[in-house]
Amino acid sequence: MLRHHCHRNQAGSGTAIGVAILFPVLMLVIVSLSMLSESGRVDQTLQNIANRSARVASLCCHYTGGPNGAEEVVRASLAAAEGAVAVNRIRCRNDLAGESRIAFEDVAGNDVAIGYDPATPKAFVVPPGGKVSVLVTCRVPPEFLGGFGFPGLDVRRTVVGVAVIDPYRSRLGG
Amino acid sequence: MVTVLLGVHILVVALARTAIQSAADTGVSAAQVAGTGFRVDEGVRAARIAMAGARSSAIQTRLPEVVVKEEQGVVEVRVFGGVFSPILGSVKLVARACGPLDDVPAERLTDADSWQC
Repeated sequence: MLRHHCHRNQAGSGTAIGVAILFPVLMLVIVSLSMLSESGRVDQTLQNIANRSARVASLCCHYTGGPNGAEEVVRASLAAAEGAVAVNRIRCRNDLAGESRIAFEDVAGNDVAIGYDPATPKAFVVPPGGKVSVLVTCRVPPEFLGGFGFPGLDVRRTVVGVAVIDPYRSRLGG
Repeated sequence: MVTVLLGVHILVVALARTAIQSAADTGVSAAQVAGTGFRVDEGVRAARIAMAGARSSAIQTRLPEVVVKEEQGVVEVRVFGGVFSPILGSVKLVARACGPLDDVPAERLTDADSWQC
């Protein structure tokens, strides 16, 4: 009887030890899943912002830079994505609009300069039939990755949005 | 057991959110391209097709809503979806997306109003 009781006690402590070992592992799995899902959501939002900016840049403007040019429109789009009242607001630890890059390529694949100069206006025209790429980099605050703040975790996400420039669209702006 | 269910819950809801958000973004893209008078129909249709394609991740619980603000030059889409979670049962999710209309002039696009919903 006594020996049977001892066996039961040993079995119980074994289960407790097993739970004590497994619990942190399972918690780690849950935290990892949560971080992965939030990371995916941030990626999706960033990619959507980059695509939207590239698309608008491909449609809006006559010139690549200058006042009301494509570059300014892209910056406005990215600045709005960080705004407090924006839908699907993105929060970055860097200047999302300031650190993004925009590039134009003509049909032959040559780079087109960004700018606007009244003396040589043709040099800076948005190339019809070419493409525009918007490269967006965001340093995601760790607390937004699953709600857990790991000190020292520097998560940097870079996405590229590309849009083809419609050659048949008339562009009046910029 | 609860831990495993919690993990499944996180995964299922994350997949559903991604799918519903994609449907909202698709709806915005379609509404942006469509001409005046067709934006709502095209947006709803595109969002519904996207939701039908993502049926393995989430189901549509209500028809998508498309609001076109012509004077502001913005279109907004809301998509309603749901998913079954092993912990909370039926979970309802809403995704919103918005963007400027294609015919908004560049001088207005540099204004923050054209990007607010």
